[in-house]
Amino acid sequence: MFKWLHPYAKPERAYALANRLYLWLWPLALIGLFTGSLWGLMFAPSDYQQSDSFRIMYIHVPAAIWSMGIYMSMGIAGICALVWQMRSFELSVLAMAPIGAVFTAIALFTGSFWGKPMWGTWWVWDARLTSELILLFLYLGVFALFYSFDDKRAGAKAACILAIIGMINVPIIHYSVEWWNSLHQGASITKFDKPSIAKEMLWPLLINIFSCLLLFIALTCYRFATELLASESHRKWVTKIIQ
Amino acid sequence: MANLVNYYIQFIKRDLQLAVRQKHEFVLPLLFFVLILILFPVTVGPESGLLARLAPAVGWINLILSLLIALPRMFSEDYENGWLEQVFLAAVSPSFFILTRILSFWLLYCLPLVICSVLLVPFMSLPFDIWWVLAQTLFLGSLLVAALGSVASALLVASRKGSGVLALLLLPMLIPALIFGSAVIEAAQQSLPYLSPMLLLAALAVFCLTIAPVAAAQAIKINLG
Repeated sequence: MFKWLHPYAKPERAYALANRLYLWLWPLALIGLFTGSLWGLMFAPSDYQQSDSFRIMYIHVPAAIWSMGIYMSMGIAGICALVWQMRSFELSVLAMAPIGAVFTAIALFTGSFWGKPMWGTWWVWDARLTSELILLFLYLGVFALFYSFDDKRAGAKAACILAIIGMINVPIIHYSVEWWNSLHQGASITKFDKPSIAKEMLWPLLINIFSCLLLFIALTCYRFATELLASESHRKWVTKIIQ
Repeated sequence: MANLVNYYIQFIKRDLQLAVRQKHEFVLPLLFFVLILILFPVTVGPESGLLARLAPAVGWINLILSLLIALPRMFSEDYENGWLEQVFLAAVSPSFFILTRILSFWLLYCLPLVICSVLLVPFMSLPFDIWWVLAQTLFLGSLLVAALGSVASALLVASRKGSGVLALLLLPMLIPALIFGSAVIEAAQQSLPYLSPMLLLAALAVFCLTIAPVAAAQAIKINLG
């Protein structure tokens, strides 16, 4: 595997790969999101209890799932960056952080808009909501740490360490918050406590979840390629590409 | 082993001596703590039942905020005058040095604050036995703040925008400690057994004390370049 991976340690090869992935995945993700959302919003049957307002699920659930998935991949990239001391991994951590923050913010906002008609409030201090909100601040912390350094390389490495610490800490926070809530008040509304979902509703959801993953990869590749160009701007291959 | 103990005593002695010679810095978090304590009755109103209900929460949050004043300077002076670099060049393991620094920081800043929290009893009419439980949770919680704070402080040692970002890094990490701490207090107020959340808090503190020195040493190495 390492023989296959090795050439990509060279920034120009990594750039070419990221660029190609971006060019392929970006339209694919858009098509997927378009079909999934259209199917979900227009053609899927409406829920017998929540009528049409459940349809925000097609945005909310993918964003919520990948807000956690992105954090995990960011932490793993951080470990790789510190173990192999490769700049590309550091840049990929920085490429993922704002995307993850935006996914988290989308999950929070859509959840809030879903909660208003269903629960009657914009916000409850439920375990899931609280840990998602904390996750947003963890993302912002990674980003703020990077920007508080004058030396970009040192900032990126510090951000990697924080991403790793956060990866250890996220499960702790998650379970402690869950415990806190169940201690406080008994059965409040749990979001995923619903009868198993109908097939016609499930398919567009799965499509949207998958295309959100593609969207995340595409955006990461785009940001990664841009960061790579910016950090190697004095090199010959960069000037060749820019011209 | 004897060698390590020797180093440990030397490091702690140096930290304590420095603190004694710079008394003003050492007293600042304490003054901040007392001032915030005064602000609460002034804003909430002097009704003693309400104040007594708020008091444990005020104690916890106040402790964390006061420590946020002291934390940015945990390593920064030694970083600027070059002492940190010498320690990292020496044969002692850096994470061991960080552990001694965490403990001396805890002795210098956290322990006085925990003792100072007894002011909650007269100022916010907190019952004394509840305060005693609160002080135990603060004891453990401040160890945890010192451990996690050492990582945040080490990450930011070379940056100029220290304290604001430090709060952003540290506060989300402290939420489990707050949850367990408040669970202990809540159980104690209803005179229920509170040992299990207390033990969880202690376990969390021990876990952080074990992991944090390694992470903080790595962070300082990056900053030293």
